[in-house]
Amino acid sequence: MSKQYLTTHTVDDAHITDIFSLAATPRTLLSASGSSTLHVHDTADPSFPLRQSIPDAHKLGCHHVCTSRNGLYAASAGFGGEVKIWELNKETGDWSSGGEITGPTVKPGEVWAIALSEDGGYLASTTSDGRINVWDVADQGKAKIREYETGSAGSGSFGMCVDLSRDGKFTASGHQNGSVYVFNNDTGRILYSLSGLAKPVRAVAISPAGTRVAAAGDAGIIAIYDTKHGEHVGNLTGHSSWITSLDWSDTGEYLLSGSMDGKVKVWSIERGVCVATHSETDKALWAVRWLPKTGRSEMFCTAGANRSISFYREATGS
Amino acid sequence: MDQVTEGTIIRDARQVIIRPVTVTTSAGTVITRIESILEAILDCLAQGKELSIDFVTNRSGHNPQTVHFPGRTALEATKFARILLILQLAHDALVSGTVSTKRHIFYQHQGLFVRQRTVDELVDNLASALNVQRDDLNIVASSKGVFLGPLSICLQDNTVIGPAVGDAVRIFTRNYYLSLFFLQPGPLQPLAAKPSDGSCISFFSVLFVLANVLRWSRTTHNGYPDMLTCSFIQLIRFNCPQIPIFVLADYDPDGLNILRHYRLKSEFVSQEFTAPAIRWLGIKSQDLLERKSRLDMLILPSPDNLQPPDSQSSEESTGSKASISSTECREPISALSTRDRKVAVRILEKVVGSRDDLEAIELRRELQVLLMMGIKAEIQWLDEAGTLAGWLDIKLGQMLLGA
Repeated sequence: MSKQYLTTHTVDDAHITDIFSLAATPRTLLSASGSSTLHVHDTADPSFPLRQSIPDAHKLGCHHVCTSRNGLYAASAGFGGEVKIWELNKETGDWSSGGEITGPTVKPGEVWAIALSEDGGYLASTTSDGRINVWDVADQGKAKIREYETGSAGSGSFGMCVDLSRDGKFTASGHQNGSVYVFNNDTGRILYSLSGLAKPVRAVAISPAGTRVAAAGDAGIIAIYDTKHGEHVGNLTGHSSWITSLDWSDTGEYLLSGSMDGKVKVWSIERGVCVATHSETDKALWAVRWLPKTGRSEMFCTAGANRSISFYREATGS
Repeated sequence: MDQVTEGTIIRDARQVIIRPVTVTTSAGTVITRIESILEAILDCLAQGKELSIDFVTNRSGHNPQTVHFPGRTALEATKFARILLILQLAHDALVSGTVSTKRHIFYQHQGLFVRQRTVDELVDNLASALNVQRDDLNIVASSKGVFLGPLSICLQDNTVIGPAVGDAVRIFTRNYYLSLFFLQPGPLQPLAAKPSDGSCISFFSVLFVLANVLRWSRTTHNGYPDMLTCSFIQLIRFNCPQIPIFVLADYDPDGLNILRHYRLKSEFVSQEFTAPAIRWLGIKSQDLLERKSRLDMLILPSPDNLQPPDSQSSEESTGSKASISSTECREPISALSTRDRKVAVRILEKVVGSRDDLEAIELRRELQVLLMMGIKAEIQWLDEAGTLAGWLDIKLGQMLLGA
């Protein structure tokens, strides 16, 4: 049975250029775009008003933004190569700068995709030569504590996406040459090298329970692997364009995917089928995200080249 | 767009006489100046004194400097030798009434000059030192481009450059850096050489600048326009504003940068005029997405693993490449390299730092999307069976009718 989702609201022209990335906290949604400003939208209000605007965050624009699961930290990566940490003031609800990751290893192309750990203590980032760096961002010095290689030194394939498991055990990365890697953060070693997509992998996501890794990209299919044995356990097919973004629902029952042709799909993991397809636009979607469940029904949002953010709500029927 | 018939061509065509705005110095005067320098050197030789040439170190003519031989350092001695050789070659060219190129000078003594750039700078500085234009030395930029279509250009010496082969060779040595296609509405096809009356340019309806496809000269910057090229385009813009001008460039950091150069330099000249803008035909990210089915057929050759699995296929692919192009050969579509990303970020910095008009915003967006998509495409990628005709028909149609 398919599920019904309704567009509840669209924030038109949320940014003046393409929105490249979205990240949610329990009550807000952060959006990053080709402009220098980050936006924070209030998702507790049905009209999703702009709650805060952070000007001059990234002079050349921002391609990735992520939040910690506890909703207290955010990180953003700009086209100029800079990475900034943001902290939530619990009393005022405002975001403020929590410093910048600096050092000789942070330069253009050196940091692309980013992911924060559940408590915001660690940040994982990919590099253009395929390495995955993990930084201790809770510490003042923001030191690099891990560096995973995915090829012979300095010759790995461009790291297009990265994710950390909720329990902090795993790091997963997707690369331009189609490879997907899973690392064990405890041992600091590569756990699995997963093949099968052969084309650039633009999105990778570890399920909430940490048992599955979903990876997708230019092949147009979503490959699902288990983290126990590194087995390829299934494919979700149905997108007819590059897949740019993936997100697991809070329970791990559903997977959300967005693609370059503007289509967003919801997949049932148990049944391995697409249960809903929506498109507000035929322009590229760069980011799709579930909102943490606060009310009765699940919600997700999409953003991309049409500069707007669309919010969807599950039609409960009751 | 009007149907182009013989009649409308004649009616619409504007006649433009290209007259450089710079004041020229007669060959005799330049020869005299060069000879006086050479005579001074001879005098020094005869008296057993140290040799010297009065020179400047930048184009504006400031920073006068005297270069000595043997001089205080080996570097100075080398510089003296280089200047002397250029003086001699310029003198030869002026006396014989021929034109020499900077490239030609470089090849006269590669060991002495080491780099082409050295020649370029010295020639410019020498012209300043002699208080003349570079062209007055009968030294011109190296040949870099071709043009196609019913165009003829009258040069200041009243010679006419037409599209016939012999004349085309002349324009090679004379100036231009780029391909100029003068298109009729309708499919792109080579236009037959059309006799035209001497000292004028007659045009059809579209001027089409095909940037950065010319790679036969590796020492040039792969199609970056110089001031001369830009001023040529300006002449057309201001004298024939009815002719739309389009740029087609690769979808890669250099292609986008070349486009920026055309616009930047045209703006520089056009402050006091109004003329139709130079328009960007492509390739843009949207063009790639519209042909996504063609993207999907390709497995991207990543810069990291270009090595084919077995040597057999490697040989085959090299063989087929050689038949396509004898010069640099790249895949028509490929993943961005680390260098590409760095260049793109550098250009992005420049674009963000400049004005905030619509064109800058569009260029900024395309650079960002280029980085997001992580792939680049060459103009050849638009080919279908070796011709751009189909794509150009649609694109030009859209842009001309949409305007």
